[in-house]
Amino acid sequence: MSKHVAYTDFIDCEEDVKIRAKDQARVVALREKKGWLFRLMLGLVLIGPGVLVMIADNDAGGVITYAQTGAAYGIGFFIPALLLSGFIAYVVQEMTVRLGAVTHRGHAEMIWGRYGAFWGWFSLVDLVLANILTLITEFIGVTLGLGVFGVPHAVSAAAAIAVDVVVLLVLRYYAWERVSLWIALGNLVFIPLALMAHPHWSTVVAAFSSWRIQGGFTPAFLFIVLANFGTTIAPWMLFFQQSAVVDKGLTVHDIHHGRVDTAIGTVAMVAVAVALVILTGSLVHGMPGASNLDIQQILRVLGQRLGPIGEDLFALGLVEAGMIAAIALTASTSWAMGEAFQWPKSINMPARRAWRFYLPGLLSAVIAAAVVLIPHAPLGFLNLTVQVVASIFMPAAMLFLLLLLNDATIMGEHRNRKWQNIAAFSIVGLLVALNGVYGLSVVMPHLF
Amino acid sequence: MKKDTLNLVTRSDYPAPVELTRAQLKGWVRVVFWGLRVYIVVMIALVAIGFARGHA
Repeated sequence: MSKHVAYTDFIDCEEDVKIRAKDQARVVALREKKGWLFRLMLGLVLIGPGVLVMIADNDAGGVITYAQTGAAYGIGFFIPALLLSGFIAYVVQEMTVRLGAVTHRGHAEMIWGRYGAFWGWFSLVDLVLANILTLITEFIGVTLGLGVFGVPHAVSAAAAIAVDVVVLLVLRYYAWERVSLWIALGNLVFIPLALMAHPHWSTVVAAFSSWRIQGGFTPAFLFIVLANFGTTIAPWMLFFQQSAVVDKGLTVHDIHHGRVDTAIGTVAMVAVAVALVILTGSLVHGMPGASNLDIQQILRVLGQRLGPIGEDLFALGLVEAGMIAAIALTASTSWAMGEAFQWPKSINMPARRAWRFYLPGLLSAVIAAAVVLIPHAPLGFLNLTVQVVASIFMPAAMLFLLLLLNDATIMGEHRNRKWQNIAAFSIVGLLVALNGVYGLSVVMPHLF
Repeated sequence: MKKDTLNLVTRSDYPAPVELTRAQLKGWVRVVFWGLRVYIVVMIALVAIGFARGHA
């Protein structure tokens, strides 16, 4: 390790740069060593942003949306649709890995710097508002989930805030990432739950050959499709993963591992989403009024069909989904604000020196928790609204991403290849088309 | 609490962020940005109508 020189070389650096340098030294040291064990260790060290963003995308709102989708439409159209949305999520998120590793700047910073204050403000306001709305759904999940165990909503919301605060303020980036990954592991609880439902696997396989839509192509169906795409790819994911890649200190040498990380996250995300649709598609679909059940009613049905263990596991999954997404969203808001206003912008920074960076994220979490505790707040409505709003603004976020990824002066040899542009522009086209059809269904409902 | 646990590496191990200069919007990119403005206004209007009519 002859590269490594005196402490004085870093003496005038910001604290976050020093700590990031230490993380990078670990990566450099592992990369220099030979053997499968060190390669595995390198992979484990570099895993993080991709898995976190994808698992956090299976948030409480997502769990609720997938569960309601399975209850309403059963095992059918949405199984292959979710596989497609997984592919879409990978294509989009892989671009943020390259952009972050090449530029060492976050997404908000790039938009602000390249396209000016108008689009910078537009993206920032859009992101922060969407994050607060999404955080509301996370606290809905946490309070509903812990409510199954008799925990009062105020206590569970306060506990969730406390976890969020401690994880963000006390841990530096690497430890924050490791703790978050352990929490994210809990998302997989929905897979054994789906197996407990003893689904008809022939029906699952048949879903790929028949894209039949029960009840036809109605505005309600379209809304669910938008909600599902909205929960699979969302603007916050772009901002989060790029900022995480930068804060972790990944370089162009780490792009391959970043891709693997994102791919692993995608597989886990799709597996959990499909498991949820299979679970409620097997146990809830077909019951009277199954199309209109809220998540509490679905929980009760699962309790009746699987017993208390099934209900408890689902509730814990809901709590985990809300918690991991709250951690990610809080960080995403803080990073974006820090990047936009050029504040200290690293989870490696101590709270006393970077309070402006930590404050917006934590404040957004507190606001969201407070909304959830308002009696008779239209929480179910808010949940679906978040997904629709996210999917409508996604094309704008994608556009900035695509412009940056095709900017040869910034990206050099890492700019988008032809197939990546075809895939990404097709995704933008799909999103715009879906939103357009939704708009038509609103203005001219008789067409559907 | 967070500790300063610097392991000694050179500054060259950590590349600096790229220089950021304002992009010149020309040709099709300019058209795309206007399309984006129109899209955003139209979608916000449609979502407002949708919510008012109880679609969401």
